[in-house]
Amino acid sequence: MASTWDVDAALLAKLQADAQLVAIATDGIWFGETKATALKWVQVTQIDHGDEQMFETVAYETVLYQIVAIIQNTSAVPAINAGVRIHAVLTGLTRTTFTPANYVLMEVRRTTRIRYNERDKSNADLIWQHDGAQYELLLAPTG
Amino acid sequence: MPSGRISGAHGQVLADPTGGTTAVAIANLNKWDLNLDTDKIDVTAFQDTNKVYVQGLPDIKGTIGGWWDSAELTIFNIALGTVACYLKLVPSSLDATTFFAGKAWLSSAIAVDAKGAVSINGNFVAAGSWALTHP
Repeated sequence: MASTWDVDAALLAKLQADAQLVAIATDGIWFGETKATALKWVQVTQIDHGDEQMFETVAYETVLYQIVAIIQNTSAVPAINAGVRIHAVLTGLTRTTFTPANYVLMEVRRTTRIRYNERDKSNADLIWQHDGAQYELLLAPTG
Repeated sequence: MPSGRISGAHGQVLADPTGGTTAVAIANLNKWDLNLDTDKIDVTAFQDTNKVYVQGLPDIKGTIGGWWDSAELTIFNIALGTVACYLKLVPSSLDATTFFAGKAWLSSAIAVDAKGAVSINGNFVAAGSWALTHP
């Protein structure tokens, strides 16, 4: 039985398998929040989801993910490099390389690029860099 | 037999490409419509207080739509063939004994859009008598 949880897990595994991204985001790649002491990490969140119906069942699902590198650094370069890796991983997904259980990948597309920074709320000398994007995945359930 | 208002989620289109009555469900479809519009012939005469019509025959025609899957090419094989198919249109498979059916000439089309899923559709006209079957 197709469950979108399997898509979440497969996507997280793909990101965590990218050695260059892991080398930048040394505090890990997580769904949602991470440990409070993390300084260099990638946050994956599901922003939206929709089912496209056909007779009797679902034709395909649309899942919108936001994937952002969050790195404490006055320089934007590490976050930008992480964003480049995130984009490379996502645009490199195909139906043969991305195989969540009970789904076939139809398409991946970037809908919005994300880049901004903000000062740390307790220490104004510290800057949090954010770089990534929102990606829409279209997947057809197979079971 | 279920009755009352229903959702279209369990709709079904079945076809026999040979024109027989052994119809098999076509996968990946999400829409069908059937138009039973009849001819209306104007027979208005002098002194009538309004226009008057008599009814002619129903002009059976309709459309089907859905998603492309290279494993399900039934509507394209029918459209590229030379035999009128048998179509069976079921409003809900939960009440499968109520349906419209008859022989049809089916045309088909495919639409490919870089921003979405590849979709298919078809339209048909009657190639023989059509009937509504209802227990």
